[in-house]
Amino acid sequence: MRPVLFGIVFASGEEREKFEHIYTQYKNLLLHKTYEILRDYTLAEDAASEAFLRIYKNLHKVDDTDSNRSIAFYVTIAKNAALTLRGTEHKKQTEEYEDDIADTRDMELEVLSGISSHAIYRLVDALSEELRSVFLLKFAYDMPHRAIGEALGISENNVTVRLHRAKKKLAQMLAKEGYVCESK
Amino acid sequence: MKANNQNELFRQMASQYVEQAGETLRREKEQLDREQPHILTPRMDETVLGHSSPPRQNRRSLWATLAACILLALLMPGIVLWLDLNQGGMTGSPSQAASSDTAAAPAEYAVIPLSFTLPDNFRVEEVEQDREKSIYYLDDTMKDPVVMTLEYGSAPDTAGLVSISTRGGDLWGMTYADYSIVLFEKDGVIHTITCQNDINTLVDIGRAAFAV
Repeated sequence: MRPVLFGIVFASGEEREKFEHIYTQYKNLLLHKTYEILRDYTLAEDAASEAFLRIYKNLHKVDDTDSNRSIAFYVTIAKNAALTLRGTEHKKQTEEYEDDIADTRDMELEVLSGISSHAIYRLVDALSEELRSVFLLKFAYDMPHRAIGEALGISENNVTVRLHRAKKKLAQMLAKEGYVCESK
Repeated sequence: MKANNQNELFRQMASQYVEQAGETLRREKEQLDREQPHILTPRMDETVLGHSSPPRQNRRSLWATLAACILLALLMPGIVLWLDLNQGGMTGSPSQAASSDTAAAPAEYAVIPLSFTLPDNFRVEEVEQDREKSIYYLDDTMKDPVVMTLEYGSAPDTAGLVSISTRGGDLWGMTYADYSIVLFEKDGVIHTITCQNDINTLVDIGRAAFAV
């Protein structure tokens, strides 16, 4: 009988070891992140537990368990599990971009000058957690919409809507800050 | 082409972001581990790892697996023969091998074309293929961008949605806190349309699909 966790049968002992490594190494960090959102230790544990289940289901996406890329993946999943549990929208102070920007439908994303890595971080970070997580799972981790929905605990339709919003908002921010031009 | 450029830029931005964010989180983790190295989480450990098999059980499992493998190996010739007889001698035939190869190969999906004319205020901004689904990003001059997903099928999942009367076809829809959704089936394709605000935007598209 193969090892079982969350009622899931592990494909191999290696897979289980990989998961246990992630759990022991990043339990504190994920708890810390979920607590930051929920401000309740019991709820934070529930959210972190849920996050580990979702991480397990996407274990095939994790090549190097300790790479920066993987750590960002764990935290993205954990934050969303916490937000789902909290059940309310987690808004960052980026709403200034919401309404006051012109329609960008004809905007060609043609980068005028190299965007510094600092600017990239700031722009992506300015997205709300809900939009950023969908954006990252799509573009950084190349996940299909259905898998993103499962990882974040939202419907596939909601993934599509959020992704569209994230792209629009980023495009608007890039235009507002002069990184892209409108070619038309 | 424009959409491809945009997605490539987003891909680069997302990859750079996760590298930087990951580095920041790594430092945060190291600090946490230094400051609070022994946080006890018995409830979470039980939830997440509670069903872990101890080493002795693992060894027992290994023996059980080994025994099962040996038994399977002994029975396999009989099973193969039985299958061969029951499937008219197809086992190992070239045609079956070819079909197995086909099944193993990653499926390639073509974009499902739109079978109707969109209302005048919409234009297709971008089309993306996500596995078996074709996703049309529609730009709306009324500023309520729409995403329409097309997927082959004849039985849309209408659970939780309400029927919307229209001429010529059946629409189902609902407005949620985050978005509105309308779906319908036409010519063997399930259309799922979503937008941020007004469900009527979506109903207009559904009606256009069934317009004579």
